[in-house]
Amino acid sequence: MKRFLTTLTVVLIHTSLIEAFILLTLFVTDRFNRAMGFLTAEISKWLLFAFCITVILLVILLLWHQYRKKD
Amino acid sequence: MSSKKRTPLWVLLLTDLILCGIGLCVFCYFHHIRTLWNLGGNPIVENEILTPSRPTTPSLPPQNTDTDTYTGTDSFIASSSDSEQTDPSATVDEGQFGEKFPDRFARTPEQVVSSADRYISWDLDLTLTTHVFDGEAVPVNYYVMDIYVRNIENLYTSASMSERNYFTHMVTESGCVLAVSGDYCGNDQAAYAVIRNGVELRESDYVIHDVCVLDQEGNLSVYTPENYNREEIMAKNPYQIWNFGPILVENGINKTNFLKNYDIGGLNPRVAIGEIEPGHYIFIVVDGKNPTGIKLSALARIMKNLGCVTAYNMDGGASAHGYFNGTMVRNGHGGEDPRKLFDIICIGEVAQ
Repeated sequence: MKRFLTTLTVVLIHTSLIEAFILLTLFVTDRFNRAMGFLTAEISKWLLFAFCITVILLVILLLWHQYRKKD
Repeated sequence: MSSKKRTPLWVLLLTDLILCGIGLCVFCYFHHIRTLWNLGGNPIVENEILTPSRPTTPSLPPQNTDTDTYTGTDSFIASSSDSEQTDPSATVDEGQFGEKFPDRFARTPEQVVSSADRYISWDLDLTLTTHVFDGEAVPVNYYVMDIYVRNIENLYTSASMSERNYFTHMVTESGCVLAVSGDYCGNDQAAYAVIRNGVELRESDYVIHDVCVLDQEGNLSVYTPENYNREEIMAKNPYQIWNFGPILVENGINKTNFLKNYDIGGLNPRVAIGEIEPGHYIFIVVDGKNPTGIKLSALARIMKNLGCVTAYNMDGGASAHGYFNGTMVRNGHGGEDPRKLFDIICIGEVAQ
C-alpha cells in the first residue's frame, strides 16, 4: 500500500507538471489570439478540472507523507 | 545497498516536456478537429449546401399598365398568358415593403434598369457607388451598395457547412444580382448557431462574439455575448443568424470600442452589412490588403454616416468579396487562387 501511494505521488507530480505546462501554453497563445478561444473551449475547461483534481490528490498525498514522517 | 540507479532529473524533465507536447497535440485534435463535439454545437444539417436557385433576369411588373389591378405573387416575370388571366378586381400584392417604398421599384417594363451600377426591377432597387477613404496613410476604395427589397426573401444566403467554394462559383450558382462575403459559418474553430434562409443549420448556445440576427420582418438586430439569449432570438422567427462581428452601429450610434475577443483590428479590407430600415439595407466592401484598408472604428463611422441604425462587420481580409450585376467589385486579394468561402450574402429575384 505504501509503495503504491508513493508511486501514485510521483505520477501525480509529473501529471500536474504536464497539465500546468499545457495550461501555461494555452494562456500565452490566448493572449495573442483570443478569437480562437483557447481558454474558453470546453476541452480547456475539462483540462482545468483535471488539473484541479490532480493537484488536490497530490496535496492530500503529500500531507499524508508529511504526517507519516512526523510519526 | 540498493543497486537501483536513480533516473537523472534532466531525463525526468525531458520526459515531462515530451508528454506535455503530446498533451498539446491531443488538445489540438479536440480543439480544432472535433470542435463541434467539444463545444456542444449540434450540427443539424452539417453537410447541407444551401444554394437557392434564383431567376437571373429582372422581375417585371405585370403587363397590365393599371398598377391598381395587378394580381398575383410577390414578384414574377409576367407572360402574356398570365396577364390575360388577370382578375381585374384583384389588387396588387406589394409584398412586405412595396407600399413602404412606392417609388423605388419598376412598375412598368420601361422602368427596369440593369447596368454596372444600377439595377431596378419589380422586386429590387440596387445602387452601387464607389468612394475613396483617405483617412489613413494609403487611401483605399470602398464600395457602397444601397439596397431596397420588396420582400425579405430577396435577401438570402448561399451557404455550406462543410464545403468551401469560390465566391464566383457561389454567385453563379445562386443566380444573385448582388453579393458580399458572409461570416465563414463553416469555420471548424467555431460551433455557433447558424440559421440560413430560415433553416437552422447548427443549433448551439455557444457564443463568444457579437451575433447578428435578421428576422423574417426584415429587422436587423445585434447581440453581444452578454445579452445573447437563444430563446429570445428563436422567438423572433430568425431568418439569418451570423456570427462574426463586431457590432459597428447599434441604435444609430457607431461603436468606438470593440470586444477584446476580436483579433481583427488594424487596417484591413472589410465587408459590412447595415440596416437603415426594414427593407432598406447597406452593404459595404472595402478594398485594400493588409497593412492597407480601414479600421473597424472608421468602418463604423462610415456605416453610421450612411444612415444605418444597425451595422455589423462580416468576414474581411482575404475573404472580402463583392459582386454587382455581372461585375466583381472585389475578388478577395485577387490572384490565381482567391480564398474559398463557406457562405455569401445575396440579393436576388425571388424564385417562381
